[in-house]
Amino acid sequence: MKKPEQRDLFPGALEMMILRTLKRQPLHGYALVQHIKRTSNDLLQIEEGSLYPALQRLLKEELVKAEWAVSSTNRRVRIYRLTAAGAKHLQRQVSSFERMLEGITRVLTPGES
Amino acid sequence: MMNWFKQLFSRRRLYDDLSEEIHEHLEEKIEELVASGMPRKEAAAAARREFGNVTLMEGDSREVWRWSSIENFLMDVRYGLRMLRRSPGFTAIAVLTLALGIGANSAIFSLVDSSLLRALPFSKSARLVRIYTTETDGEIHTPSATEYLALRKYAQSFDEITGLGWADYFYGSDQSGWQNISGYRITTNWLTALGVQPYLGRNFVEEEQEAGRDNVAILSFNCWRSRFHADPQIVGQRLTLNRRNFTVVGVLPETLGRYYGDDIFAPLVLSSYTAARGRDRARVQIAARLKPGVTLGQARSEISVIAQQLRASKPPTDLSGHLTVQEFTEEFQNLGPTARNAQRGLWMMLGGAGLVLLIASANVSSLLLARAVKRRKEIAVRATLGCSRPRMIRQLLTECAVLFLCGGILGVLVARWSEDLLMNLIAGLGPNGAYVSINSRIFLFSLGVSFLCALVFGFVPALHATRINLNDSLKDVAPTTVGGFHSRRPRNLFLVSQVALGMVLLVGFGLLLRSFLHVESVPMGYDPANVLTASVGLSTPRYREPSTRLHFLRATVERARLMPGVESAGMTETLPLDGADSGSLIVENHAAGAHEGTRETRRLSVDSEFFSTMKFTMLAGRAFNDNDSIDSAAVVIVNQTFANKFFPKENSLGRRFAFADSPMTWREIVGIVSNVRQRNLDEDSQPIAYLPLAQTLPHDLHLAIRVRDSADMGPVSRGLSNWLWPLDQDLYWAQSTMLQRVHDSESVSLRRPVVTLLALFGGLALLLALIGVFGITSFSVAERTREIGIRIALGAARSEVAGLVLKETLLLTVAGLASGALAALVLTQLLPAGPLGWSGSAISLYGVSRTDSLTYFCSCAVLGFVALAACYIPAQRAMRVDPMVALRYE
Repeated sequence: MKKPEQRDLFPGALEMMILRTLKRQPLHGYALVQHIKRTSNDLLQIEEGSLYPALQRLLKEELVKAEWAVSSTNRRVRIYRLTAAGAKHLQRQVSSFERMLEGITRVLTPGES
Repeated sequence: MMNWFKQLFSRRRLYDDLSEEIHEHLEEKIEELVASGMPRKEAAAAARREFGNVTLMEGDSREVWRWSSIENFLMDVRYGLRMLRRSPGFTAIAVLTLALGIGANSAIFSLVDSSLLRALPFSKSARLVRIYTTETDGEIHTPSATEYLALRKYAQSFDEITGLGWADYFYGSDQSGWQNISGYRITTNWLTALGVQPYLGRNFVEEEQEAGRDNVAILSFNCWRSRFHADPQIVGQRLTLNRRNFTVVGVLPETLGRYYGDDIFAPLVLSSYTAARGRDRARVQIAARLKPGVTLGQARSEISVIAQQLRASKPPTDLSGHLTVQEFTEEFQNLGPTARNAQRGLWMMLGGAGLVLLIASANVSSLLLARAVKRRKEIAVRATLGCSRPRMIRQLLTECAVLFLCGGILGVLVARWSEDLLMNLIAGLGPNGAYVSINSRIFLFSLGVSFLCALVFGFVPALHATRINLNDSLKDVAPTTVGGFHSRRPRNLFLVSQVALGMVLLVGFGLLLRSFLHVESVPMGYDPANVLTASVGLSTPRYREPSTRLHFLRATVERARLMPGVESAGMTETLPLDGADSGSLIVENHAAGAHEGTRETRRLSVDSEFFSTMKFTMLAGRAFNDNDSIDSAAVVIVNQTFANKFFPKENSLGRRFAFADSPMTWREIVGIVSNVRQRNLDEDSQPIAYLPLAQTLPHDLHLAIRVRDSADMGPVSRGLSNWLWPLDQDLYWAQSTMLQRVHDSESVSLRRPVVTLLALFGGLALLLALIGVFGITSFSVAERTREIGIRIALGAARSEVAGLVLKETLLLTVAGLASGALAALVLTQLLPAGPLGWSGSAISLYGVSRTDSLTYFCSCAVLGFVALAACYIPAQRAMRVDPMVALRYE
């Protein structure tokens, strides 16, 4: 069955955004999704829940690690943190994404070439 | 890898963390919404809406951690097992059917594997060679002991030079009677040079090659199994051979049996070996291992130099003594015609087994198709719940594979149980080294075959089962309007192919059976009933003089004639069905234009009573009499083929000819006898010349004794052994009867196992066809209950309803029979053509054509009858359909 987020984003996009956000600071799931929504100005319609399969994939590949902590609002939360491998992976993903974007943009803007 | 391992065990915790995290996420959201002034109930709903499908997300998240393909597979296996358990009847029939099919294949494959597919059982066999010599006629032969000794002394190209001689033993105790067993005498380095490890016990040690210390024996695997019941304690036991005590020191591996088939291996003591036979008559088979770095060419040139020196004393016209080196690998690939045909027999058996498996698989496949209809609802439900079609096909295939593998495993057990049966059967194929041994190779083969069949035969049912119309299937009206003939097409196809395959098998069996019966009842030219035979090997030094041999045997045959119940007794050099020596001849005053081809004839020596004892028919001239002695004129009696071939237009009586090897002895033809089967029952007759044995004094002699009545066979045979044995303590008498020899002759004994096994497979095919037709027909009746109900309600006669059921099945059966007959016409082309005559026997068609109408007719009739019988119960059931019940069913 098709996963809902694949309808809206290209594969790997969500992971890339998660990694980028975590690079700035470690966050727990809820805060992470709120941050992505906020920074994208709510342009990206993602279901909050779709974050979790993506987080599990990252955990499995050891690009992030997680540990239980207590938040400022005195809530038990699981804080995700970028690993060294995660940082490297992010860098690679971002640069290949930029190349792809550049390619697409060139095609989409006629007259330049 | 470790990571994966860790994950497997920490998964429970991972899942708990995940659930808690998602729960906390929702709580946090709700609290935030509440804080912004939303009522709690609304906030909870909004939080869930924003989050998406909680169960799905959690499921997806969990899936990340699973090794999904394997786990899905295991899940499918579990599900499959559950489904199979739920319908034990179906499972039992399917598994049993498959077990028979796969078991038959495993067992036969084991035979084929052991005898045809194994590499040579010697280590580094590419470096092993055999050394031969030539005879006076230039033919290749086993070297003499002299040549063996010379090679051992001078040849430098080899690491080891080994010798192997032959020995006949009589073995046993006085209670059980004596048995003749043949064995080898091997040099103590023979096993090590060839790289053969004893299966039990040890190899010979060097001292055991000395006279007096050689009373040790190593048994062949076959001998150990058949005579000693595979006794694991055999090493160290004593056995009596030729009235001497031997200690068993080892057992050889089974694989050696194909290449060295005799029973007993004992050390070769060259002095006593040559003493019994004379140094130049004692033959030693030479096997040697090339030294590292020495090429075959180098070895050949060295050997030819040695041969030249050995031949220095001989005149240049003498062609004997040329030594040749032949590679082991080449040696063992060139089989005699009989061995080749025995192998062909094995392939035929495997072909038959393959057909049985195909029928069994088609059977199971059609059962699966029938079940798919019953499971339509289950599958529809799964489809609505979002299971994709490929996923369902995979699941159904897995289920099918589970079924077939169960069948395969049970099949291996079937093969194991059939081991003894098969071993007895294939004994007739001769020493071809084939044996049934269910080892890991065979186990893997069975599993592989099951798996392949599951994929091939499970695919159509799986495709068919998942091709569904959700709307119709979910409604509760499923079994009513199941299309017509069209929707049953795959099932019908299986039925047709089952019948067709059965037809091929039955026709093949029928043709071979008719050939077998023809061969068995072929007119032999003599009467084999009531004839006892006794043969003796006179190889001890006492009988080295031909006249001593003749004198001894004459006295014996005279004494046999005096026994009560004996009608007559004669002697021959070779008994019928043993073949005969050959020689080329020179015809005196040969008429121009007469036979110009090779003048090869078979020849054997007989005494004056032999023809009358065997009841040969004299066509012209006279039989031998007591006046034909060494001092009188040389005479000869020829058979009809001889007379027709060499004297086509003239009376051969009174003509003279000589054999090329004794050109001074002109023999006058004094009689013509009718052709007899001298080599095989299905041979082409060849020219044979019979010589009076008083004039030739042959080395081997056999007695043929005709008794008055079949009731006399037992007493005369016992009487014979009572006085034959004490004549000379060192002689072994092999007693038999002509009928037994016919029974054991190649042309019968090669065919018998194949025919028997094909009969077994044919029966199995019929049984499977019965089950298959019954299953499909009953199912289609069950499926059409409503239709039948309506027909009856509308006034159809019961017989019409039965006709409806029968018509469809019979139509399919006829289609199957027709296509099967066509396939059989093509496939029987694979059966070997024509008898081989003197060079060996084949499992060929004999006295019956490939298109034998009787065989085709009988196969059709039997299969048709079985199909009809299988329809009987379903047709009865259709006739008994109560329209009220059928229509109220929904």
